[in-house]
Parts: sequence; C-alpha cells; structure tokens
Amino acid sequence: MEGQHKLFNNYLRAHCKTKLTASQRRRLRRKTLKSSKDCKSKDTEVCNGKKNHIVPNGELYLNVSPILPLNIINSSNKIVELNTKLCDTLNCSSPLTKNKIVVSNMEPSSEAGLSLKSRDDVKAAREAKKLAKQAKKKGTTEIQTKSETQKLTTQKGQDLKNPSVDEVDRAEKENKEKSLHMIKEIKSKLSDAVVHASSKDVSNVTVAENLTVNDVVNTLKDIVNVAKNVESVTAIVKAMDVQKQVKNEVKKQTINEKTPDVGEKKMESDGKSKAELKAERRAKQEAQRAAKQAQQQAKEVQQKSNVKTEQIKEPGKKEDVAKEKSPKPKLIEKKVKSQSSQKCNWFQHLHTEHDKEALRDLAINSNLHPAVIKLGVQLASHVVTGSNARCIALLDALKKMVRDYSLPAKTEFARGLEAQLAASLSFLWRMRAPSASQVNAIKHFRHQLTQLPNNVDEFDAKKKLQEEMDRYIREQIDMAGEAISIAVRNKISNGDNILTYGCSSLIERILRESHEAGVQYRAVVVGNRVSHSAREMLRRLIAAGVSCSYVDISALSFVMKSINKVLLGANALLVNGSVLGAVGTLQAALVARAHNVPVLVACETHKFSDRVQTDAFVYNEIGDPEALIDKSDENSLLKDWRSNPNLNLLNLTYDVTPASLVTAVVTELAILPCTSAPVVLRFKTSEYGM
Amino acid sequence: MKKEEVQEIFLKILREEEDVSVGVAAIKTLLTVIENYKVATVRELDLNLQLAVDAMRHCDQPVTAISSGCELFMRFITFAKLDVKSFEECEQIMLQRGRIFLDTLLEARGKVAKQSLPFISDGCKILTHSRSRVVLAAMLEAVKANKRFQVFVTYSSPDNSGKRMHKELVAAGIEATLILDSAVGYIMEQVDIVMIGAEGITESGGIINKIGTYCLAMSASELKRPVYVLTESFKFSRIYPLNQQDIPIEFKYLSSVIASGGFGEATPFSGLYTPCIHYSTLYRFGHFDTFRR
Amino acid sequence: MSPLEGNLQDLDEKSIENIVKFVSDIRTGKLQGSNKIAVATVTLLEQIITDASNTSALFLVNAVRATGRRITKALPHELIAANMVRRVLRAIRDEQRALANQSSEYSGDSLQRLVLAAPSRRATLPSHHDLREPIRDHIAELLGELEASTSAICGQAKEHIHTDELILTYGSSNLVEKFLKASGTNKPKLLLVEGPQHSESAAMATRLSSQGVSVTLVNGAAVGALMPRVNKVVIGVRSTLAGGAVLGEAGLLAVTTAARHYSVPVVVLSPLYKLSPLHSCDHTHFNALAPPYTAMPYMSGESALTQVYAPMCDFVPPDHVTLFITNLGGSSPSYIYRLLSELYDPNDYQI
Repeated sequence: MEGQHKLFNNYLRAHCKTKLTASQRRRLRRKTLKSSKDCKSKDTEVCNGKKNHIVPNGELYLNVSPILPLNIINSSNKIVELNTKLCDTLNCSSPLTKNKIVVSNMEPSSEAGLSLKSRDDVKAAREAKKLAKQAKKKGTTEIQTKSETQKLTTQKGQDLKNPSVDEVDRAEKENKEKSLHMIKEIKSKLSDAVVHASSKDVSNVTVAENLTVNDVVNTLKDIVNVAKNVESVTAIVKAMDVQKQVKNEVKKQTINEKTPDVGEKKMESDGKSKAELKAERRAKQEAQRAAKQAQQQAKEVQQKSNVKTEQIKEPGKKEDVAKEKSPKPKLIEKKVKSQSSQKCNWFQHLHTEHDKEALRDLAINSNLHPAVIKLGVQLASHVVTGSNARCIALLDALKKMVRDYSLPAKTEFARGLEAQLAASLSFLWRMRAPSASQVNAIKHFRHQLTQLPNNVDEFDAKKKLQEEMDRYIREQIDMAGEAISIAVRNKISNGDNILTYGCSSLIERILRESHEAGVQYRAVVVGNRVSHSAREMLRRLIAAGVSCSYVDISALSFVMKSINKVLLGANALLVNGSVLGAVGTLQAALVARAHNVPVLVACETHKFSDRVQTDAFVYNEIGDPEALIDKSDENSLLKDWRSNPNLNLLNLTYDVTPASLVTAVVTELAILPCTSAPVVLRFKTSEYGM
Repeated sequence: MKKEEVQEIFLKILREEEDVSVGVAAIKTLLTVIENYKVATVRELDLNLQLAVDAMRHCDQPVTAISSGCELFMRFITFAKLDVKSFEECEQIMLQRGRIFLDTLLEARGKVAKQSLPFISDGCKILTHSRSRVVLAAMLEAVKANKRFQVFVTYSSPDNSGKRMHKELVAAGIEATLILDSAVGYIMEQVDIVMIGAEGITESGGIINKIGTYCLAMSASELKRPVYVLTESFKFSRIYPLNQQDIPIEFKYLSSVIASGGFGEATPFSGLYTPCIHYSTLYRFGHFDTFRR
Repeated sequence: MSPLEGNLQDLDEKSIENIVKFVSDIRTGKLQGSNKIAVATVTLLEQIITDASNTSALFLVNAVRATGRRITKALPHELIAANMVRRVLRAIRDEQRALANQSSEYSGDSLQRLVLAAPSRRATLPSHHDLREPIRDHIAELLGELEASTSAICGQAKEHIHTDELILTYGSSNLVEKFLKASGTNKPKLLLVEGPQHSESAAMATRLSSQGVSVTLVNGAAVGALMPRVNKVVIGVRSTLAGGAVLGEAGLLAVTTAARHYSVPVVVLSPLYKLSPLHSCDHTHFNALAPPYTAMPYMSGESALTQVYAPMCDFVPPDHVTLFITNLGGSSPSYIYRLLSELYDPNDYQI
C-alpha cells in the first residue's frame, strides 16, 4: 500500500507543476472510483468474472478523457478508439503491478462526441498540454528511454526467475514515463489533427487525419514493440485469449475478408504469485472492457464511413497482430472461408461458421455455474437435441444455478440473480441459438423472478423458483404430452399406417402409448442420411414394441400411397401458423398433400413462438457441413471441399411448413387448425402475464 | 325416301342388336340407305344421306354420336377422288368403303377394352357413371383376364341407366355397388380410379357425357384420382364449345324435349366435361390415331 | 402385322448367345449409362439382322421382335433397350412400305391409310428384295442420332440457362452435367441435391466445381426449404413415358411437387431414345427396390427388427413437368404422343 502511494506521489510530483493537496487527492480518487464503477457495471458482459463488489482502494485510476472539444464525431470516435487501444497496450505492458494505471474513458459508447467538463478533465487537459510541450522539447529523450527499457528487458529476461521488486518498479516506472510521453505525443498530434479537422473541408480532414493517424500508428507500434519485449517474460495467455476472442468478434462483424488470425498460443506460466495472477486477471478484464468499447466504436465508425474505417482498421489490425504476444506465435491460417462472394449468400445474415475451434475459445469465466458450462458444451456439440430436451436441460441447469447462487451483500435477490442469469444465457446462446421452447421457459422464469416480493428471504426465493421450474416442466411438458397423446390416440385407427419424420420425443411418446393402449398400427419412420435422429426414433419405437418400417426421404412418394396419416413433430409454431421443424418436414407435408393424406402436427403450447417466418431463409441454423461428407467412404471426393472455391456444402437444420399443408395441430388445449396459433399465443400471454 | 322409313330402319337396328352403339347403328342405317334407295347422281345420294341423318337426329337418341359418326362416314366414303366412269361403280366403291369402315368400327370396342386392361389392377376400386358399353366391355375383358376388382356405379338419374349397368355387372360376377349421384364426393376417397365413357369428344379435348360427369370429374381431380375416358374414335366431333351454354342444343336434350319446347328450365340430358382446362389426369383411348389433331 | 399375329420363331444359336451376353453385361454392370445401352442394343440387333438367314421383311421383323421379347423378359426395367427394338422394327416396316410404294407418313391403321390402301391392306411382301442394306443404312442413321443426341441437347443449353440463375438439379446425371457445362459464358449457380446415390452426387459436384461452375451441395431433405429461391429445376430422367410422364430417381417426385408448389419450371432433358410408348398404369409398375442398405446400414441394430425399403425409381406425372428438351428441341408434355407416333409403330407398342 505504501509503495503504491509513493509511486503515485512520485508520478504526480514528476509531472505536475502544482502539488495536489491531500484533500484534492482524495477527491480525485473518489471521483475516479465512482466513474470506474459506473463503467464496470455497464459492461457486465465483458467483465463477467468480476464480483459485484466495489473495487478496493488499492487501485488508482486516472481518467483520461478525450481532451479536445470535438465537434466532429468521426475523429473523436477514432481518437477514443485509439485511446482505448492505447490503454490496452499500457495495461499489457504493466501487468505485474497491482497499481496499474488504468486509463479508462469517461464516455463508453455513444457519447463520444461530448466531453465531460469535469474538474478532473480540465486538470488532466492542462497537464497533458504541459506534457506535450515538454515532449516537444524532449524529443530525443524518448529514444533514450526506449533503449533503456530495452536493456532493462534484456536484463529482465536473464533474471527471469527472480524478478526483484526494485527492478520491477524501475522498469515499471520507466514504462510509465515512456507511455505517458507517448500519450502526450499522441495528444499533441491529435490536437493538431482536430485543428485541421475543424476546417469544414471533409476531404482535407481525411487526408490530415490520415497523416496523423499514420504517425500515431508508428508511435503505437514502437510502444507495442517495447511492451512486447517486456511481455515476453510473463506472457499472459489468458488475457490474450480473451482479447483475441473479443477481437475475433470485432473482426467477424466488421471485417469480411479473409484475415490471418493467430491461433493457439502456448501457455507460459512462470511461477507467478497469487497476487500477480489476480492482477493479471484484472488486467485481462479491463482489457476486455476496453476492447468491447473499442469494438462498439469500431462498429459505429464503420457504419459512418467505410473509407475512414479502412484506415483505422489497418492500424487496428496491425496492432492486434503485434499485440498477440507469444514467444512462438503459431500462425494457423484460420479457414475463414466466409460464405460471402461466390458461395451461398442467402444465409449470410445467419452465418455462423460452424467451427469446432470456437468451442475452445470459450470465454473462460470463472463465474458461470459449471452446470451452465456443461449445458453449453452439450448444446454446441448437439449432444442435447430436441425442443423438449433442450428446454428441460436448460431449466435443470438454471435450477442448479439458483441453488448454488450466493447472494452478494447489499444486492437484491432478483437483480443479482437476473445479472447472473443474463450472463449464463448469453454464454449459452452463443453456444447454440435458443429454440422457442427455451425462450418461453426463460420468459416464464423471468416473470417468476419479477413476481418475487422485494424483501424476500434468499432461501425462500430459491425454493420458490425451483418449485416454479419444476411446475413448468411438469405442466407444460409432461402433462401436455399426456393430453396430446390421448387426443392423437383417438385418431389412430386399427390397421393404420402412420408415417413420421425425424425424431420427436412427443411423437415417440404418442406412438408408444398408443401401442400400449392396444391400438394395432404400423409406424413408418422416414429419415435422412445426414442426421441420425430418425434412427434414434426407430430404436426407441422398436424398444417399445411398435412394428416399424424405415425408409429414406427419397422413398417418400413410394410409401405415401399406403399411408393413412402423417404425424409430425415441431420445433416451434409461428404466429402465422407455419410450423418450424427439422429440415425435410416440408417435403413430407408436400408429398402427403399430393396424396391426400392428412398431416397432423403435435406441438405443446409452450413451443408457440411469437416470431413470423415465411420461408426457411428468414431464420435458420447452419449445421456442420462436414456432416454431408460420407464418413464411411475414405476416398470421398468432398474431403477437400474447402479448398475448392466453387464448391460449397450446405447443411440446413430447419425448414418452415406453411399452414396450408397442415391439416391440424394437436395441442393440449384442443385440436386446432394451424391458423389458430396466434389465438393460443394471446391466451397464453394473458395467462402467464408475459 | 321418307323420314319415317329411315327412322324405322334405325330404330329397328337398335332394337334388334342389343349391344350396338348408337353411332354404329346410325352408320349401318346410312349404308342401308345407300343400298336400298337407288339414286342417279352423287348429289342426290348426298342429299339422301343428309336427310337420313336429319331423320335420325329426331329419334330421341343421343345425337352426339349420331352426328359425329355420320360425319366421319361421309368423309370417309367421299374421301378420294372418284374418278370413275359410271355412277354405279362409284356407288359400289362407296359401299365397299362403308363396309370396311363399319368393320373397323365394330372391332373398335374390343380393341379399346383390351387396351384398358393394364389400367385395371388387381384389387382396385373403380368408379363409373351411368351406363357405357365400352366401359362394360372393358370390365368384362378384365374379368376374363381373372382380375378381381370392385365397381361403384352411380344411379345417374333421370333415366337410371346406372341401374341397368349394375345389373349387367353383377351378372358378370363383378362386385358392384350402386350409389347415389350425390354420394360421389363421399365415395371418391375410397376409389382408386374413375372410368367413364363418352358420347362425344370435342375439338378442345373435352368430352360430352351424361349429366353429372362434370361434378364427378371435378371431385376426382381434387382428390387426385386418375380419370380414364374410354371411347371409340368415331366419336370425335368437330365442335369447339367454350362453355356449357355453347354446346348445340340437340346434343344436350332429347329431341322430344326440344320439340315440346320445355327445355328452358330443364337440366340437360348430357353435359359438357372439359378436362383440358381443369383436369390433367385424363387419358384418352382411341382406337385410331388421332389424325384430327 | 399386329404383334399378336405371326409365329414367334426361334432364333438361331448365335443370336441367342449374343442376346445372353448383352443381358449379362447389363446385369453385371459392365454396360452402364443409357446411351451406351442404347448403342449396344442397336449393334446387337444389327448383328442379328446381318446373320438372318431369310432376308424377307416378315422374317426380319419376327426375328427382331423375338429378340425384343427376350430382352424385355430378362430386363423388364430397361426401357431403353425395348425402345431401340421398336426403332429398328419401325425402320424395317418403313423400308417395307417404301418398297411396296406406300406412303409411310401415317403409320398404323389410320383412316386415311385405310382408304388409300383399301384393296391390299395386308401387305404381301415381295420376298425377293433384300432389305438388309437399306435397313443397315437406317441403323447407321440411328446410331448417328444416338451419338449426336447429347450434343444436340447441350446445344440448347444457352437458351435455357442464364447467368446467375439458380438451377436446381437432383441426383446425378451425366447429361445434366454436360448441359450445364455447355452453358458456356452464362454462368449459372447450381444447387445440387443429393439423390439416393450420394457418392455419385458428390462426384458430380466435384467435377462441376472444378470446371468452374459454382456448386452448392445439399442433402435431399432440404429441397422444400430451398425451393423458393430456385429459378429452374433441370433434371435428367431414366425414361419418358407416354403422355409426358417421367420415370426418374427415387425422391424426384418430392422435388417436382415442391417445384410445382412454388411455381418453379421443371425442365426435363430427355433424348429421343429415352421416349417409351408405354403407360405407367400402376405407378409402381416400372419400379424396383434397391438393396436396403442404402437407406439404413446393415450393421445397425434396428435393421433386424424393421422392414427397410429403398425404391429405385419415382414416377412423376405429366402435370409436374413444364418442358421436355429432346434432340429435336423443346416440347410440352402433351406433345410427347406426337413424337412417339413419329418414332414407333403402334403395332410395336407391345413387343
């Protein structure tokens, strides 16, 4: 604690002409703490790992706001972005310290154009101007400090095992000085830029900005190189992973070209102490937050002008590449075979590159409940499939989460849990997009959460929530299934041939119970080569003793002549009456209609969604294209389809059957025509108050 | 030659030969006319034949077949240039051709029945409308080929000719059921194919048949059942009706009804059925190649 | 001469041997591909005609018909072989009529023919004419037509395929592949739907994509989902039946039903040798079941307790097809009967 104070005072003394009194210092500290807390609470997504308690006093923050009164939003955004990137470098460059200088922006996302005229800002501005003047004079000293730090780092490299505090402190101080010099320089240059920019001519602005930006880029590069060397000693892999993931998201959304991306990095841990690890984690979280801001600003910038973003992207990219620190960076050519340009552009809006590596890039957040993480992995790897199964698994995981949730002090139960829930859900939805049943279950859960009285006891609340979830599963899935089963059983006559497509737990239940009730019928299961769900269904039906036949989907018209009824399951029922089901359902319905065979869709009301969809393009999930390749055939010609720019494999997950092709929908409420879906939805909303 | 004489010959043929179709009977009548009523010039012969045809039209028999059959006959016998010396020779040639024509026609029904065999599969259910000799012949042929099938016949009011068809089918050992005309929609989902005859086939590809065929064909089309029309090719007529109202009156009503003037509100005896516009599952059998198209 | 008349004579040993070899080649798969089978049939018939002892038309017709009966009995699903037999029969009859100075424009017992040929309807054939030479000429013509049929069809590709059109095709067909390649500068985008033989589809996809055509391969279940974006469906078939119906790969009916539902035109590439004058009365008449492991592998446990079906063909009714592209150009399904009357003699519809 003492050392920190000392350092801080040293710093202030070195760079401020006026001495700050103790009270002034305190005020400064308080203000910065408050602002940083606000920032943190906003970025809960990024800073997931943070516990909801106030940052200890040990850390000091210096606000560096966008100094210049900027009218031009573009440039200000860029500057802010640069600032944040700068912050990142600073953070990375000094990870070991407990008292890092965390440079945080006052305006996180949208208010980039305005500058908060707080006392601190003005002071900082004044300081900065002075620093700038000094920097102009001391142009050469920069180089000296650089070389000094380099020598230091080489020394440091040798003394890897036992870094002494003094050395660290010195190195850090010098780093700090250097970085501050950098900041001064940048700011001066930016001020020039803004002076130029204030002239109305836009083209000039861009040119001027270009120049200055390039200069800035160069200086940043220098910083980065130095920092790199420092970092090589204590590579923080986790932080980099996080950054990389965040950067990946940024890239995916902003850059639509093939970009070489750095793949794995080797973990290097050099016997860090606990405190160091903690500091690393903090740094990483800060970096996350800053990067998140950078990402948002980058998005905005891109939306405004492509040309300008090109320029920014370049330095950003280079920075990223340079920042990816590791002794031996393994540059794995990430196969970003983006499905734009030549390939199927239809699904660009849903493009989720099904990449098994994405599973490895999990944001390793220690705050997610292990059950949630387990569920996420299960969902992503399609271990848990099927609308009902996913819903039940989700509620199960949430129950465990609720049970183990420890309420932090001074937080309301509902709010705290809501935050935790939001975090878990965002993780899960990243693993796999939610189905309608899951969405409705979450709505119901949230509704229950809001129904809890304000000052409820934690134990009671948890108990109530768990009971509610159990009740939901029991009522909406179990009992509904029973009701539907009975309703459909009345429609199956003896001697019928019933056709079903793919796998549905509800249909399986119906058929099994009908068989147990003594109805004599034959089930024809239709499957397709890619998904093995139909075979799973077949297995279950045989185990239940139902007499079955199996055909591939190409044989639909061959068997349809002898079919009496078609029974289909659904993933969701949309508001316009269409049925969202496994791909191939539409085909079964079409051929059934062509042969005048009635089509029944069995769907519990909890799967009724309030989305609308006319065809399978509006919303869909792209499955693993590798599934199309025949695994049993070693010499499959499709093995290297990725290297072929003209060849593309497409594996859809869902398709939409219009209401005109469906004879009836069987729900637990009644047997309805498909077009009555919105009526049921309204009824449900009123019942559950959602 | 008097009208009544022609009519008498015509009706006599119809009475005596049970199974002869109206068109064939008409052609036979015309042949008899040529043979019996001697004339001196081609023009006179022509006039005679036209008179005969006219007479036959007023016999309360379905006019469609008569008119198309006779027209074909006339075309046939006067087809080539008759570059002969005397009228007698010409007459002889005409007679000869006429007889050939008749012979071919008489075989027609048998050929159609044989051709339609593969369409009647074992265990199938057939729906038919009113009484058609060709359809009957086809079914009898199928029985001979040892096929087992089930037939639904409509009563087909007002003359209940379906009842007669039912009787004949049962006599042949076929499992036949008589159903109401209005029950066609109900029964359609149980049948496999629909087989009907035709009075006449129009230029547009439609057929003229007993009233009630149109509804039957519409409901078959809706339920995607194939409709097979069995007909000899002398029933091809040259008319091109645009809608139901556009059919010549004598095709629709019996001549007596027309004569009495009471057809304003009555429903026609025969109606038009247009497969080309509505239904695509029409397969047409002709004995001859459709050289008209 | 109606097919039910005339004695079915026994062919001589050599001919029977040739027929047996031909049938076994097809059955064992040595002879594959519709064009090859057609050419092989015609060559076989030529051989038989050349070896015939009696050169009268009647004898030749009977010989060819006997061959045809044997072939159809052995290979009931090879409609192409039967078609070639009919073509050769027609060639013989044409020659015979030409010799007897009769107009061969209208085949069959049309009324006009009746009138014109009234006195001598049953042709008494001058037996001293050696018909073999002219028949061989006909056969050579026929072989030439067979060889040129692919290029004739592909020559029409540019009219029907345009740049950036999304074409859907089902299963694997050599003819469709060549058709698409022949589109030349018009670069369509191809959506290839896997048929029941997915390895063939995969091979076709790789071949086409290496030729520069942009190909997206999808599973057979996704046809309905993707059909709204498709501009045209282009398919190759096993055989075209009378009335404009079509026999294709299993699963084709689902594709054409979806196309009809979304009003997407369906273009069928059908060279003339695939035109068969038969009706498919019962839609399963020409169908056969493929070995069931294509649907479900033998190794799975459930296969012991279920019945697995894997049909080979699908019947598509004429109202699902928009256009037939043949050697002679495009035609609608209702015009197929006319082409049939030009190619075959109605007496030969039933061999």
